[in-house]
Amino acid sequence: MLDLVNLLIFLIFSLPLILGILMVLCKACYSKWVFGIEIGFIIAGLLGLGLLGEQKVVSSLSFMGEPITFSISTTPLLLYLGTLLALSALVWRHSRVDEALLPRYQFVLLNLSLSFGFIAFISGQFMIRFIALEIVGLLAALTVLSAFADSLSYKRFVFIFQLLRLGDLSILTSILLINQHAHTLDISQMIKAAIDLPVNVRTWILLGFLFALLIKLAVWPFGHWLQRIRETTVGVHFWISGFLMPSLGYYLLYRIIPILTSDILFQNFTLFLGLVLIILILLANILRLVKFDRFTQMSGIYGCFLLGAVAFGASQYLAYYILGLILYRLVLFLQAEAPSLMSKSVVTLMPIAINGFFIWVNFNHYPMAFMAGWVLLTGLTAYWNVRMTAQKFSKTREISPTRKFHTSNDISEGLILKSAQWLYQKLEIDIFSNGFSQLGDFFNRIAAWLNTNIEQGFERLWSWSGQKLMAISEVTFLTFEVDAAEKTGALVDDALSSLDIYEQNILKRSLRLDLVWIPLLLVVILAFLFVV
Amino acid sequence: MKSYEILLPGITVLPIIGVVVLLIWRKATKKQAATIGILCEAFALIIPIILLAALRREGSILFTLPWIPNMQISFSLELSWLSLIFLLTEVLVTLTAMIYSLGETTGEKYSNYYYALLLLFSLGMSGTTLADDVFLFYIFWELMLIASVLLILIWGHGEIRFKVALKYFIVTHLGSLMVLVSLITLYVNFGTASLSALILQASTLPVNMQVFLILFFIIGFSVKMAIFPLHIWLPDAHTVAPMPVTIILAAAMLSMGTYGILRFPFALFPLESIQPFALWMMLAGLISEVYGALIALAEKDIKRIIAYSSVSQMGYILFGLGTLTARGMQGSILHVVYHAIVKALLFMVVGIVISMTGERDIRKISGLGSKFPILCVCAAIGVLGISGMPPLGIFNSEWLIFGGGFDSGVSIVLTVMTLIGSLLTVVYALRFFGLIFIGEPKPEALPVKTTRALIIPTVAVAVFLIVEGLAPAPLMSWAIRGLTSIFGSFQ
Repeated sequence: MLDLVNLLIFLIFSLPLILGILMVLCKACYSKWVFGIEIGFIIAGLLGLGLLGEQKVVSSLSFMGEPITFSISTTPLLLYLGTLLALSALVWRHSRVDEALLPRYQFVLLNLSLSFGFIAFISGQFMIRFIALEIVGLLAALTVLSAFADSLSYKRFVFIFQLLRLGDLSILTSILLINQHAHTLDISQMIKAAIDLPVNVRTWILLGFLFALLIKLAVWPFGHWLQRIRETTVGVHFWISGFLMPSLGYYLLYRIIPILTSDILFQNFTLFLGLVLIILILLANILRLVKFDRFTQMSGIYGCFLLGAVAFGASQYLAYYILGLILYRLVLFLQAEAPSLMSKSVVTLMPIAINGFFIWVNFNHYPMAFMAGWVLLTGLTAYWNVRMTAQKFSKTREISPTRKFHTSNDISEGLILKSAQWLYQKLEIDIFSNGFSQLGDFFNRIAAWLNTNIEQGFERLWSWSGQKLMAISEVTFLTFEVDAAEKTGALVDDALSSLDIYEQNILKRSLRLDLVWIPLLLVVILAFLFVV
Repeated sequence: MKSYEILLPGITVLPIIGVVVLLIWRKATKKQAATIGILCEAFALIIPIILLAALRREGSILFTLPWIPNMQISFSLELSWLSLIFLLTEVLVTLTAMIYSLGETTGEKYSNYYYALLLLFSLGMSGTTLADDVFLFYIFWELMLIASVLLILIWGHGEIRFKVALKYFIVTHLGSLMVLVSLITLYVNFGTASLSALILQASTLPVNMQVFLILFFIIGFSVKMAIFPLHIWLPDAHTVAPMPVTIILAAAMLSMGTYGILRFPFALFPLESIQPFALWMMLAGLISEVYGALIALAEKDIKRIIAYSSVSQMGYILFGLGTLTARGMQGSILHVVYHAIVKALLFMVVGIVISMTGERDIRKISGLGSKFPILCVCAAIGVLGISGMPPLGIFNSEWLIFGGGFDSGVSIVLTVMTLIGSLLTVVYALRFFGLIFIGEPKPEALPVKTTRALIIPTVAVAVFLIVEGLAPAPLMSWAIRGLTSIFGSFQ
């Protein structure tokens, strides 16, 4: 039985991977029929895995000295199935309007994300899951690249990739902090170990995960990456960023519920965060501060609802609630892309139905105040959803990071408008929209300053030291070598010339023969002394 | 003496034979000289691989010949798991650089001297990693410097090479002198130059003496690692040196500083004595990481961008060493290897870009991706590699280093800052890639094809980077064994 599980896992992972590689090498493999069959096979494989029951598969491979494990359970399979259904719907919709379906490059990205998305869902080892998440993030960012000559699309890619990577780094921080104490990479054991950690460490872990989740779910103010992809991609490949990435985010949130609920403070914080973000998104929407399209906005809002839902622990039917959110994304997308296919009422009523279902099945699980708030916020979002439908607030509202401020006519003049204007300019444009670019510019300025003042300062210091050393050396050389040599030379010359003069003086004098008597006398004296 | 022990000196003898042949054969063409150099390096690479089985059995292989018996100095070489990693990295990088230089114009004149000096450079590094005698170590250490200085001086670019070579020599030599002072102090205190003997005795030194020696060793070796602010020799030397020499300097020689720190202060003294330096090493690592990345972001010269990226990457390594944890140090050792591969790849790409465009100013180059897709893919692999993107190798080493940071017990904030600081690597790496390969092709007059002799080794290194990233297990196990040989049952 286990062999069959292994085989299915291997096939579901490797089939899209191999097809992706083949599509690069062989044009014949690049066909929407091949892709359709592939998705069908993966769905069948997932159903097969689901039928074989929940189990932990330990593979023969290892990573960092630990075996690579796969955790086959209902929730990840269900969520992946949900995203695959969304993909099937996108393929079906696009095959009706466009024969080519996708450029080959995008097809390859899609196939690779199918492989790594699957691994990210079922991996039982946190680091393998993280690796798969990072690869999916890269693939999502790569979907905006169009051609080598298109610098603008590359800039978009850089922005998206950097933001997603920031999220991944914060997940890595949390993983490493847990791993430090758990001494294992097994997700279940790590989560269990995390619950017993000191509260300060747990706070870091929670913050790391939550920060990453806000980015992955594209919740305001981190929704700009999704909005930029939305502005450029309309095809099937939007599935990676619009469906797969958030689903992986949802599942990550699902897995860390024990950490979230390990302390009442964390629960309150998560709930508060979800609540505040929903209110802020709604307010921003009401005041027209945010110019995200409906897909990005509503996805963000329901991501926050999920934060609220998990704040009290894993309740019944949470997996189905998440599945509902994934399908709601599909409805939103289809409504924006092909309004004829999706009725406005479905878009309006579906979130009410999903939230209503969730609160109904968990009636006894949550506090009354929470349920009241849940209903109220669901009503509010539904109201604004209706408004947006009426205003045809769709993806035609394109934004640019350099856009200028403008006000809408339907907001009354006064304090609220001024506040809105101020908020819009300061928060939305200056900080959230242009902020990241400005942060980049800021780093560039710091880099330029460092380069001019420190790095070239080193150069100047080096040149200065070199010049000083040369000067010292020159002075030393002149003083102790050249001057000394000159002086010595002069002295020697003087001595020699004095000697010459002396000799010449001596030679000029006439020979005094009388002095010859002195040595003779000395000889006589010596002879005398010897005899005596 | 066991039969396989005789093979060990072969690693140092083979390059010497190559040098002698090249010096005698004055009329050798570049191809002939390169063949001799490549053959010598290839055989020098095979020897440690042959010795692997024996190493697994014995734990280390020692070869000793008496040299100056009165002074207790011997020609003593030791192959351990730690030295094996550094040795293989160095020999592989030199081999790759020699093959790459066949497609380059460098060394067309005086080819025999050029390859002889490359062999001497490699010999210096091999000897440094193998030496079990402190005087032998220092001789090889200086040989490495002299050979590289001569290579820059003779085959470097422009008139500025004289100044750059002098600067490189003086600054790195200052570091070497600090190492020498420490080595002499050890020798004077214990009367032996054997490193194995010193490891057993060094901990008996007074604590203040230990602190002094550790400080000197760390600063001395940090100069070679080009840690901020001791990096001032690196950008110029990397820029002016001919590309194959730059590859060896960046990918292999920088790692000798890391080896020195592991082999001397860490192996000689107890961890308690090194503990006071841990935080400073981590801080210096963090500053170097961020500073190098920021300067790489501001730099316009493509060769210097990659050079500054080395300053940043060495910061990670020092940070990992400073954690004084098994994971951190293991990460640092792995980072040395992965950084060597990535840096070799990126410099090879830069070399091809320069040879095709004749430009080094990044503002004057763009859109090469559409013209040279293979080169673009290689560059993309290199850029993603240095950004720490899994499954490419640096991801493995980086997360071990960060994990070590958390294990170290030093404030979580410091490690979080290092982790977030790694985002800067992504920023400069993507800028580097984007400016060169994306956009309208510039300059307009570009050759139709790249030189095959340049592109083949580049592709090979890119493939090797992927393979190393996907199968890090052997390297990791070697690193653990290497650390165990230093610290015993250290965890």
